[in-house]
Amino acid sequence: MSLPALATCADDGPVPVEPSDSPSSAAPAARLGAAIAVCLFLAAVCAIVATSAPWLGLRLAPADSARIVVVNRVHRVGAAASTVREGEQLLRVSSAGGVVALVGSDLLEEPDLLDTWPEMTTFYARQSALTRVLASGPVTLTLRDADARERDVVITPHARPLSSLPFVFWMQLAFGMTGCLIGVWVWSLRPTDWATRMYAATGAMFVVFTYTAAIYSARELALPGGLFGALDLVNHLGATLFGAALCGIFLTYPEPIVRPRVLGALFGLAFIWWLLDVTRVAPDQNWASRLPVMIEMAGAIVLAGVQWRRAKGDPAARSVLRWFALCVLVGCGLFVTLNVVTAYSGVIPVLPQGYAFGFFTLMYAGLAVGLRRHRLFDLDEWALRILLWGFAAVLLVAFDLIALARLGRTRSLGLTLLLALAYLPLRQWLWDRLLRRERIAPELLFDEALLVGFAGSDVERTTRWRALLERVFEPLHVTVEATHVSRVTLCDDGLVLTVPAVASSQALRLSHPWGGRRLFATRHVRLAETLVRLMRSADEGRDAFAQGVLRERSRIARDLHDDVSSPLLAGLGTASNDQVRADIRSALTQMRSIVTGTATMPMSLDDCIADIRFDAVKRLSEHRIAVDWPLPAFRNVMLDGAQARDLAMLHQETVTNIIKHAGASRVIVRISVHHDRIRSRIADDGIGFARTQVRRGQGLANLEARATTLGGTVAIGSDANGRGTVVELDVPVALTTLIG
Amino acid sequence: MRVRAVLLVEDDIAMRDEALEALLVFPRATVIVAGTLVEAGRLVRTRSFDLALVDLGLPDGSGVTLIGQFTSQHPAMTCVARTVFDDDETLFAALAAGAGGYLLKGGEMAELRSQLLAAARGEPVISPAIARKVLGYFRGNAAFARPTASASPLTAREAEVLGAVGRGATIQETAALLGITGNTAKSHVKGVYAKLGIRTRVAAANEARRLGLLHNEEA
Repeated sequence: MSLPALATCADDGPVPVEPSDSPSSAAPAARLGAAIAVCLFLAAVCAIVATSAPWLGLRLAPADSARIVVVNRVHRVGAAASTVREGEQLLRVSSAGGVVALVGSDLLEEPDLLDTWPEMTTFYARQSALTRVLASGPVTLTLRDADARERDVVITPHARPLSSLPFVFWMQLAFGMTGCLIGVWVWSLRPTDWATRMYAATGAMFVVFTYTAAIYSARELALPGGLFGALDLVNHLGATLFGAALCGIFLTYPEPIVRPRVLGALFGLAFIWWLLDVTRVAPDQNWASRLPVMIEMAGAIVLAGVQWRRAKGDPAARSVLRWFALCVLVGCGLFVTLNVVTAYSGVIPVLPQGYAFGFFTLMYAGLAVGLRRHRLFDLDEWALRILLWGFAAVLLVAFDLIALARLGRTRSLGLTLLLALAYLPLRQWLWDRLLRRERIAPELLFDEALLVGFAGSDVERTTRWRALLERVFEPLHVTVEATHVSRVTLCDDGLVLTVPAVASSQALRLSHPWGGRRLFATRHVRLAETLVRLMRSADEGRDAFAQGVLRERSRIARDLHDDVSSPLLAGLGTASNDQVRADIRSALTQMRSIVTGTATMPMSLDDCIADIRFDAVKRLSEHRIAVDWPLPAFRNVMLDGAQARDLAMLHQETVTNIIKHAGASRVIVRISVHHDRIRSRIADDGIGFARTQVRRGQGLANLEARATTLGGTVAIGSDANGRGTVVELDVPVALTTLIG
Repeated sequence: MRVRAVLLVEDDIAMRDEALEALLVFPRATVIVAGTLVEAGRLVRTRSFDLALVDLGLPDGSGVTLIGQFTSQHPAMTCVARTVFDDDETLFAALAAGAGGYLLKGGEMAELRSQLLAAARGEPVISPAIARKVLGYFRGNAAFARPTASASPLTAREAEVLGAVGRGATIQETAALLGITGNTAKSHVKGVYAKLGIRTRVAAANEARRLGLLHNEEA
């Protein structure tokens, strides 16, 4: 998949302006925050509705093949406490509002389990009648105990406390919220992408059907029939639109295969079908609500298959699709199979629907888990930070509510004190950690910038410059900007700031500032410009210094040239002995490294290996020896100049041996770093060590001597099959890793 | 390229011998020797050469100046710098002036000869260190004169070639990595050196203007 939003930051674009009011100009965290607020508000509404019905304080359950109703639990603080016993059968309830004999089906978790319209009408009518009974003054419960003795108990229902809501109620709210937040999170980071819109739509619809189901599944005995019916219809709307969005996902991800208009039509169709449900035009529940969901599920599977075929020949796209489709289809498929298909075929579901909703969270959790490996929706690990922030915010609110509830109920001074002394500081600490409020004071910014500007090496400067920008702007994501950037520029409505190349660093692209919670504004551009200016003047100062060093170095070079190298070179011309010539050459080489300054300057391990590799590959290929040697990627690991030179010499010596003696056609080199030791394995497919022991003696002795003076070792042998030669160098080095 | 006439600019007798021995790799070539900048300048005006071997440390100035002149006045002539020290500054200056190669004095004869042949074939000199240095220079953070921002930036391809070489890939490997031919990769390197020449000249002129003087200073 391409990155459409990521290459639009024109260098010569208009002068940076404050982010406009366009719909895409909200910080991702603001969108996520809004979603959290909406979810929490709706959860509060659900809790209020669920606790609004008059409450007896019983947990009732159907028994004996759903023909009778028994008391499963008597709540401690409810009206029925100490008068009703657990295990008794509740025969009927009566009051001034009427008499209703109870049947097991009054306790149905989900009216969708009924098949026909008359059944549903009856169900809702009974719910209304029950509500009327419970709401009209003292209620007489007629109970039958285990010995079949009947008795009447008169109690007055009162308001239902929050704590009496069943666990499954909260689980449904939590499931809905999780799905919604992950959906909105993905969309907030790529707001103009149709695939993320579809994904977020599933999350939003998930909230609709879990929250409505939460209300009616948490009822003690009854809800007003009208309210119940409405909630059930909204639940159906959520479910069918969820299915439409699910198909929408696979119509747009990984590759869009239809135009956005088609997506609109899809939703329209789902909505019209829902109207058939509302108006009861469809013959029964199977047609009205189960069939569309199953069709949509099947459609999503087919579309996933279409995407799979389209990704043929693109293994990367297929691996993304495999993970994503697995999460989505398994998550939704399990639910649809366990709940909808079973209902369609007339079987009672094995798992309460409230818990079965948990299967859907698979499709959301799977996305978060697979994000890094598969780069789903082109997002990476950095995006998780913003999600984490969202969930932490929810947790904090939840903690606050619990703390408030406890405090409201207690008169104990001790608990209040504990709250003030332990909870509040803990909460503050958490909040600070989450928002990372450590900011650099403006007066210290200059010092920080100077520290960057005059850092010892290019690599260190680059790293520190990046670290400074990260501290100042806290972007979620920093990348190297490939195009030329001449000045600090705002892009993508303030989501991105590009900074020109300075302080030895390439141009950088900072996105999602302050952990995605805010946007870049003009004043941040000015701040970044000031920093760039500081860096530039530091660069100039450093250049002036470097020029001085250069001048000094060329003076030394001239002196060395006139006084030392001339006689050496003359000696090279006249000396007859090979050994003397070799000594003179090595003296010259040493002198060169002094002059070039490589003897003292720290060097990145990558650069050191790059030099060694280039030289070795060139020499070996001149002798028609193939080389297998990956380019180095140790990033930011530094070693000092002398060690770099030693390492180079060890490799040169080994390569020379191979060229002179091994008769090899192929060389494999692998270099690795293990706790301040560099290990290099150089294997050739030549005639091997044993047979050439005598001739190769000298070169190997040199190698060993050199390695020993470095405190390292050289192991020489043959490969597993006794062929070729394997040289293993193991040298201790003082590596420093620059903080990234 | 056929090498018929070679100009050797070298003041040191022993080093002349080394160069002459190396030049035997072109058996049909006539070699004419000069000992100073002035003498070499005079010779170039009287006849044409295919190849010039120029010592960078001459008694009356730097060979870099001479290479700069030769490259601008005789584009067909290949200039090869000879130097004792292969420090980055020296190489950089020579390459920017237009040198098509360089020889290290006191090197192994076989190596000197193969380098001469490579230069005559028009193969550019490149190493990871040079590639990294050039990249840094074009990004505007070299320890040389600050280049003007507008003067010919690297193309994306050129930067990719230098980037791969800087990480230790040979020209052939770089070409394979980028899916281009070896010759294309080489011509990218040459293109970079040409831009380097333009930029260093622009930068030098700016610097001279800034200091209110015109001076030639090379490593």
